Amino acid sequence: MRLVKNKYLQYLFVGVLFALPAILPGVPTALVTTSASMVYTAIAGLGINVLLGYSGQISLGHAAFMGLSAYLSAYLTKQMNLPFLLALVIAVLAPLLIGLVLGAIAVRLEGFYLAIATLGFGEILRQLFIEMDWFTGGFSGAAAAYPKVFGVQFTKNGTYLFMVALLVVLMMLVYNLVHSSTGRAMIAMKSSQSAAQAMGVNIFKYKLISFAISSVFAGLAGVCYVHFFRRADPTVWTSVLSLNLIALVVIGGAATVGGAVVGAVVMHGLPELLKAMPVIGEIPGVPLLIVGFLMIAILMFYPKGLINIPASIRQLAYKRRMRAAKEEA
Amino acid sequence: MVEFFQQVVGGIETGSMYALAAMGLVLIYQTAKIINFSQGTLGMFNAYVCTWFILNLKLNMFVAVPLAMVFSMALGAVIDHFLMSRKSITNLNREMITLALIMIFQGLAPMLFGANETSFSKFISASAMDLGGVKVLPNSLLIIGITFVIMAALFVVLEKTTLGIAVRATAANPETARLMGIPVKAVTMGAWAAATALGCLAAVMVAPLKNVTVSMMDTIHLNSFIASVLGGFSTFYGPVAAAFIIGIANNLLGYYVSSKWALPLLYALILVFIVLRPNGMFGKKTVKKV
Amino acid sequence: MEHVLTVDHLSISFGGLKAVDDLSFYIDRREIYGLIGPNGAGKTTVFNCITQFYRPDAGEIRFTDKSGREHLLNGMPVHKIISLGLVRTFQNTETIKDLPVIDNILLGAHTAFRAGVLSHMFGMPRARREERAQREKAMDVLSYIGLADIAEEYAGAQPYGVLKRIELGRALMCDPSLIILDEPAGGLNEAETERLMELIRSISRDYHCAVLLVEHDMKLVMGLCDRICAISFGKKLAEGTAAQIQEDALVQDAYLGKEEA
Repeated sequence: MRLVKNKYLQYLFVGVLFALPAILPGVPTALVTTSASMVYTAIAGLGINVLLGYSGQISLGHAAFMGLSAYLSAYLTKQMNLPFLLALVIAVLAPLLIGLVLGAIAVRLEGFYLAIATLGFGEILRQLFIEMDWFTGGFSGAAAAYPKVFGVQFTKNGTYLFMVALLVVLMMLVYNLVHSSTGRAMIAMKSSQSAAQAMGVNIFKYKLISFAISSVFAGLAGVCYVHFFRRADPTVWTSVLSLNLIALVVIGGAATVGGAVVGAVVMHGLPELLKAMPVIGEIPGVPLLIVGFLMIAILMFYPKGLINIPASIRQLAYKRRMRAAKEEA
Repeated sequence: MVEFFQQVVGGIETGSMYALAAMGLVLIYQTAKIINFSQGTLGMFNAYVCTWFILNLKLNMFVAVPLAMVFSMALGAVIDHFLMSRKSITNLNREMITLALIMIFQGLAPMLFGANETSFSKFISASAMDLGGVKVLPNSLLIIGITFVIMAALFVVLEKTTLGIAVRATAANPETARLMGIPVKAVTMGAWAAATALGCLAAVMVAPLKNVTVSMMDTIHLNSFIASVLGGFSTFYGPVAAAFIIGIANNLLGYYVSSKWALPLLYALILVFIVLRPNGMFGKKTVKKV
Repeated sequence: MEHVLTVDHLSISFGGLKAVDDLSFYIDRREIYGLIGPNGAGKTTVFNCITQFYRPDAGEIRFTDKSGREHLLNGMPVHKIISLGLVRTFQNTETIKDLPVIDNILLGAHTAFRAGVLSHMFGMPRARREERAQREKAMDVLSYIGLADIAEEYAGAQPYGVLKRIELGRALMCDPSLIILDEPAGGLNEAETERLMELIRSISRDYHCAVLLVEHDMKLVMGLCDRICAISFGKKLAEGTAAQIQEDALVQDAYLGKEEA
């Protein structure tokens, strides 16, 4: 029980850190915008972590789920004047239902079928987003406003804080999930499908559950995006975004709750840092290149991801102390 | 009726490109047991390299393309040797490395070669011939011809040569193959080299249509996967047959139903097919050893 | 009293090669039953057929659960088998390296958890209660097999002998009627094998369950099993007590080595 409280506090602390740019006076608004990118990416990343890090499945089309929810929420609030929370629920239901259908077919088959099915699905949806301009606004994009919840109209900072709160809550939910029998089933499934089955884990059911959870999180991220940036156009929901989600989970630390947040911070912070630098900032394609290299480096040399660096340092220090103690004795 | 054959011929041409890319996918999957998600991106990058040979080194197309293919083979071998060969990396992580390769080469291409679209000329510029009412470009015939030659060569090598036995043995059971003295590492490296070269070829074939840009291989890439799913990853010829079916069906659906919805419709049909026959058209059900 | 497991004319072929050929045997409650045979005789294949990892070509496999009800195992989905009280271990220990030892044990109790996914995510009281109860049970099992002090350590860091015991412990969580052990002594030295024999005997006694095992270590098989079945090339050679098997000429010829007259 005490350990759990500890983790919750850690997540709350992360939330407070993220909240600072919106609370402290005199902070440039650009920082809030960058942080908002980190937050919505982390939310989507949390979902991908459940799917990839814990359950070992690759999806190449989650950007499409994000876009779907973004457009839906924009449409429902702007064109149909539905209250924000209701629109949120409906907008997230769409990727959930599609995820269940798509997942039900793909997860019966070999592992890579899901990757290919989501790749195709992402492509088709991207085309649809462009074609159905009555719904999505086509190339010019859809527009939305800052949310209005229970009569209170959020400002930019208010919307941002709402996103941060959502992230913290989701982190706690994922923590609970991972430390339950559902989480164990998923992790077992990733490690040894045979053992999991022999222990009564219905592989089909749990693959579907993890896919459904990840698509809901992607939907939530999409809704956050469109209501913070107040626009959404097809250039956002690309396969590169789907790839970036996978990359950030790997870099930050797969199969950890905080990994998605670390990865999101790196993913959005790095390009900003690079843009500020004199020569490298000018060259196109550099952020993508660096993210790719980082991902390969982590996969080959440090698969646990950046979030495990403190733990590794502690282990090294412990080993050094042990060795020193032995030599003295 | 003429229009029907026109569409079929066009479908065979696009099917050829899908087939080349699909062959590359299956080669790596059979020998290294992973899906190379970067197949299309590497092809794109090598098309850029070929363009550079033509524009900057002023090489003739018929010199540049083979040279680019040689470069591709080297690139594929290097990727396999340095990134794919560590024993400690799980197959899932290896597949994620191929995902990372997509990002690297998508970033590298505009960085090295500039962000502008470049045009690429066809192999043969001659105008269309009239074959019984069906208009066929000599270039298309060349593309189809090259593809069939490569497929035939692959078939001969796999079925009739020692190298082919080595590849098939590695595909069936790498551990046993290694025990039998087959250099499994060399086989997988060779598969990567060949697959990358095939991707390069597909890219330079499609380049005249799409221009040389970062997204030029997207459709071929996706369809090569779908072809492998439809044809079944467990055989070499299944995905090739499926590739042609997809090319032809796409054209026919586009002409007779709707060009916008042809591809989604085709995918939906394939999805239904896969539900009924999960191992693809030619796939065999493998029993996993526990 | 019905048999806990009945294998009736089991046959399966792989691409023309008959791996198991018309094999029949039964196991009684509380029996420790051994399956022996040379390498490639089809022993693990038999296990996989019983636990439905492979679908037999012919024959029936019948299992009687704790309440006395008989089930036909043929065609049952793999993950449903354990809820009947039939559990297995694996030749290449399939422990989950990324989880602590106690979580590995808890995996064996998976079917005991009734609360749903949402209940787990939101930390509902019922989910918490189940987790607490099963954790206690898992600690009891860990004490029983002597691993209580490494409960929170990662399974990936444990030596081979410990992994084997974890798999055994995992099997105990479901209150089994029959435990199927696939080469439980594989890779263990003499002392570890002795301890394993004691453990299996205690388990059969304390958990009131039958044990079916495949082993190459003849000392373990002969010392532990009430009855033994010897197979070769998928066919039954002989069946009986340890003494009877040792005397059987066919078995000696195929497996133990021909006796010079």
